[in-house]
Amino acid sequence: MHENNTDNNDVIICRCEEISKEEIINAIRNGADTVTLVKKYTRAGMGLCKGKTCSIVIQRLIAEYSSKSPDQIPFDIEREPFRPIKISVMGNYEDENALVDHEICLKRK
Amino acid sequence: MIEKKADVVIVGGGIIGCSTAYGLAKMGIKVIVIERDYVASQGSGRNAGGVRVQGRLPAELPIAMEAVEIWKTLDKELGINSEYRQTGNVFLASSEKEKELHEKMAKRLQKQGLKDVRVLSEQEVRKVIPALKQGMCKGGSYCTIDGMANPLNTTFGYANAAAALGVEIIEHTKVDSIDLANTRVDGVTAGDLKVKCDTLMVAIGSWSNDLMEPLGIKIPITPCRNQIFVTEVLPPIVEPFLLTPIVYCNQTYNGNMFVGNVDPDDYCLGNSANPNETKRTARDIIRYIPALADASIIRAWGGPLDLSADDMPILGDVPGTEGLVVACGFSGHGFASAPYIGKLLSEHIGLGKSSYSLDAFRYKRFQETNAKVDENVYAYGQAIGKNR
Ligand SMILES: Cc1cc2nc3c(=O)[nH]c(=O)nc-3n(C[C@H](O)[C@H](O)[C@H](O)COP(=O)(O)OP(=O)(O)OC[C@H]3O[C@@H](n4cnc5c(N)ncnc54)[C@H](O)[C@@H]3O)c2cc1C
Repeated sequence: MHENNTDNNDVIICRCEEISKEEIINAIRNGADTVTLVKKYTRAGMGLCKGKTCSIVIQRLIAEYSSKSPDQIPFDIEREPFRPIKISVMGNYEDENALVDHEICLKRK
Repeated sequence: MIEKKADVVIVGGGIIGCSTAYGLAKMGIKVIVIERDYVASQGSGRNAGGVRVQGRLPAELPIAMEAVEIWKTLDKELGINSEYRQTGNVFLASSEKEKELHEKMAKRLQKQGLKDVRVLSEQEVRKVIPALKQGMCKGGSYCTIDGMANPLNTTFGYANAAAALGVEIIEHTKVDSIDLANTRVDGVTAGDLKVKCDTLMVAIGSWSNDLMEPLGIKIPITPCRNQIFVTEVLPPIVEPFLLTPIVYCNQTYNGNMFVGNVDPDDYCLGNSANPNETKRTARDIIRYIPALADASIIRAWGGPLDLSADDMPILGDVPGTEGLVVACGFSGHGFASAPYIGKLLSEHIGLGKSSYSLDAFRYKRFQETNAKVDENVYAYGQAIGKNR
């Protein structure tokens, strides 16, 4: 996103979920001090692109607000799948045994 | 060493801790909540948001029903958008025998005062859920007052409302131990923080025994990972919360579909999803709802369940340690009733008595040799827990 575009508080930062800069700044003011928490307060980054576009802007906004450098603000944890995948593709597997492997960590008494 | 003092300390910033803190603050009681990570970081921010009344055990039913009354006006009370909606809840029966058990369960619930539950034929179920593939059930139990809400919005809402009333919420602080003065609670230690209090409530779900065992108290709960995957925003496909015997789905206010396993058996905790389980639930859900085949999965995550030995929570005093209150063992359904359970716990702590007796949930029940499980009572946990 171009620097000048983010001066306006109405500008959309998360395009998938249509979350504005103003909403993100409000979340930060209300205590969201990580990219993960901004996501959980506003939905920014919950959409189809998984935060690929907005995370870096959000990171910078948090940094600005807390007078830190952006690399001190951790990114959200990357949850699988790493790119969106259709349910039918995810559910299409052959080797039932492969599934059992690391499944049950501990038997319930 | 930093020292603080409060009337009540609550360990755990989940919905149980936050709703109890809110109730106590309304009574003017000074409360400090201590949370290891951040509010709603565990079960309360990771669940499916199902607000289910049907299938409850006898002692839990009145609580779940009263919770619905609170849900109806919760947004106004807390000044939030919890996205609470009464979408109904459908629990499928895969065989005639299961359908009979559902009927027996519905009769019991109706007798106890839940008028809004009834057992439907397959045809009737498919009227409620036209997207359900034909031949996948023999019918199902349908409860119209059930619904769903947004767990994050609700839990943050309780935390913010509590904070606005003066509750101090200390995040990123792990409580290491409970401090005693003889047989009485004195406070807690969390790193170099010491907080003294008259009453201590431990509401840390799956981690309860970390703090209880050093006191010689062992709560019979089993930690278990449960997980969900969420799809992109979809047009309306399934209106009610749909429980099949193996997989569930519910479509959120925004249109994303949540899909999860009804009876997970992954006995280790983690906030990431087990990819095998994601595959399995993906395969299972499109057997029931073929229209979901082309929906894209965005994310999958894990969260903790604290499965108790009898599927009921453990609530109230811990005999032998004065001033100690415990609230855990929600067995995968603690979000739904939290608005009322938080109220009951705050009444118990703040007033010394609660508007609905917590006796059935006493910790001591597990030590009582004459404690009898009524084999005849069929409820949701018994229905899904066939393999346990
Ligand atoms: C995938 C999934 C789906 C679910 N679906 C539903 C549903 O549809 N409907 C429903 O009603 N329920 C559901 N549940 C269950 C529901 O999430 C829980 O019952 C509920 O959130 C319990 O709230 P809690 O406050 O007891 O626990 P939690 O929200 O887990 O809170 C406990 C808190 O304690 C903190 N903590 C732990 N140890 C310490 C320590 N030593 N010091 C300080 N803090 C500590 C943790 O960080 C955590 O924040 C689901 C659960 C999962 C995992």
